[in-house]
Amino acid sequence: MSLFTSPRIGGRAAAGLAGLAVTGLVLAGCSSEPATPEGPVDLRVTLWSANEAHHAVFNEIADAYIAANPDKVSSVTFDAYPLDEYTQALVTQVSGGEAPDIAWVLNSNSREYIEQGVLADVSDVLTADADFDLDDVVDGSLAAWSKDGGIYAYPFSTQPFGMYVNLDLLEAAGQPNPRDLIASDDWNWDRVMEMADAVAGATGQGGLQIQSWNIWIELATIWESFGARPWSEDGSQALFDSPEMVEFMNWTNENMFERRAIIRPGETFDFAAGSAAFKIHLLSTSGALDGSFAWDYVPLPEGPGGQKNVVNQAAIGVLSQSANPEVAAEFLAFFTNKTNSQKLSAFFPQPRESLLTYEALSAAATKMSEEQIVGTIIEPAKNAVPLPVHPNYSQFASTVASSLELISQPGADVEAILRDLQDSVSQYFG
Amino acid sequence: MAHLTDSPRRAPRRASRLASARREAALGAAMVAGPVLGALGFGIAPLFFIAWYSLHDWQPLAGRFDFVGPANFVELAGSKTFHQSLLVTGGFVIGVVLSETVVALLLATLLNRRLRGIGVFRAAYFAPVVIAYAAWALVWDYLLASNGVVNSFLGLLGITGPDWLNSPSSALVSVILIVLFKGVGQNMILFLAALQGVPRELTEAGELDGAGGFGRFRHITFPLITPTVMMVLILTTVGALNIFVPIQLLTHGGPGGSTNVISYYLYEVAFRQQEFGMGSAIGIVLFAVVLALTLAQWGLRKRWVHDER
Repeated sequence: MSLFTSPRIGGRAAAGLAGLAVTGLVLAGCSSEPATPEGPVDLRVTLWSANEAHHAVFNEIADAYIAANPDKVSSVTFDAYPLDEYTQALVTQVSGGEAPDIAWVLNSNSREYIEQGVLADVSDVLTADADFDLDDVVDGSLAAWSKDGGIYAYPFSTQPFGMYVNLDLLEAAGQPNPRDLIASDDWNWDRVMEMADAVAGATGQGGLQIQSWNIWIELATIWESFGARPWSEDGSQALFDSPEMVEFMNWTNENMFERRAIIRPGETFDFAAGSAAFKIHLLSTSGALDGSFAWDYVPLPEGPGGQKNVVNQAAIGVLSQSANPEVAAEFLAFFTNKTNSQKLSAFFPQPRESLLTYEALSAAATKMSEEQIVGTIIEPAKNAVPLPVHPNYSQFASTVASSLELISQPGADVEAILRDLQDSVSQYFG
Repeated sequence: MAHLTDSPRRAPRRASRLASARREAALGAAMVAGPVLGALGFGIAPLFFIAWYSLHDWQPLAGRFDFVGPANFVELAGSKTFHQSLLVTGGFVIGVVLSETVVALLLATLLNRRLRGIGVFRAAYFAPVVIAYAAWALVWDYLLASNGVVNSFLGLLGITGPDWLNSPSSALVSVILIVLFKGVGQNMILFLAALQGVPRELTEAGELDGAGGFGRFRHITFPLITPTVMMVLILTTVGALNIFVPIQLLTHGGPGGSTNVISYYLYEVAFRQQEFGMGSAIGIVLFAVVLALTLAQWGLRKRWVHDER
């Protein structure tokens, strides 16, 4: 007997199937407007942290709000998803008609979410809430989250990037301490690459670790000091093949393959494991360092275009498709008001004048010294530029990542790859 | 003379048998109704939904759901990335189907012997099948790192190994090998079962007639296991076309799109670029490709499958 049988669908059955599908489609299309809630509502917040200590603080703030507003909110649920899958989870929920009320938003998605109307304007609520104290928020920190006078999210985590340095590896390779180079004004990218290459040669470990080539936007922490930008300030023109970007990418390729200063994709050296000399990242990384090697956290080096500080933000906003946008906005204002920001600052540096202090930040980075916090976080935060954002970022991000993978190959024709990239993504600009 | 069945005494019995048959038919229909409705609701209906979505510009976060007709398919037809993805998918499917089928058949032939401890070898080759794909992929990520175990071993032999998963020239082959090692045990078990169903007297007769080992396999064993070969080809083809986890965990479709198979490209477009309409259009194309290949394999069965000629 054959293992297979021949499936046959009769005409009536096919018509029945079609009818079933059409009925389903019609039912799916019959969405109704969310009704105004009459009683207290259940709010849902999506985020990418599953840290129990974080959630304890979030729940503490939520419980206080529920106790003070039992007629408005009956519960607040914080749903955590891994960062790598966060945006996909959010998209899936919204497409399935299960939009959360409030969501954490990545810096890179800010402009497109605002332009597409994903986030609701909460400026009226934040302005009216005296406890929120909008005047305390650092000038410019809301720039990426504002449009035409509206405020679409609050950047509850605002931290400049700094350079982590493995002092043990530098010493083993006979290299100077970065603090001495900063003092003598020699802390620049050429010097860092020499030191990184020397570490790789002398110890067999890695030089500069790039956090993830897929999060290519964070290369802005280096290309900014080369005077390069991926697109114009207003987002109307792609600049991937600009001379500055070509120079930066050639420099990256050379330091990866003509010497071993930058850890190549596929190599498993990791700063937290003590096997990489340098890594650019945020203060939160210090929590994963176990003291098995001596390290320092210093400002970003100077490049051909000067020394540039770059800040990363994560924000929290109300979704336009929330079933309870007004109540959610009020909760958001409470969650991030001046008092609660102090609680949040135990984990996330706040963009508030009152909390941009060593005392406040040391709670979020218990392993860092005052010199590290003041010199690498507080002072740079005053003139840091944000990571680039673009309204069509999601549309071309993977195309850029794909080109960077080709640039990260030995003997890559960097200029030709960047020219192709420019052609491929130009449709998303202007 | 009247037939016995026409006898008045037999008529009530026949009516009773008919009623019983109807009851059985109704009971049978009731019992299959659940699975059939499930297949319609969760298998066929979603296909219609996806076809409908593919005719729309659907961006969920932006709340956009505009009918655009065949525009998504037209855009796909002109997309260089999509063309590259189709080529990569073709290479991947050919690589996986050929290697999994041939290696599984070889292993099954080797392990189809009554030797002491043979069960240990069978279990060892089957073990990867029951390991979670995510764990399997992560282990291979470490093994194939440019400074990983494989290259360290090659270094001892004086060979500089490639950057397996990060070089456009070796990434696809590396993923094919990872998928091969993971799935070959399943096909091996299917072939082993088929080989053990081949009557021993036939191969013994061939031996008596002077046929060598390869000749017996070529003319006796292989023709008898062709139904299983066909099943393996279809299942492996469908599985290869729907591959996702190792690509997502190991290469993200890179480097430079060299492992961007169509199922991963669908995910990129739908969930990263947030274009569900275009993602649905890619899904329809993928479905059409799977259906066409399966029908082609099914249609060709009479030419080579035992008992189907």
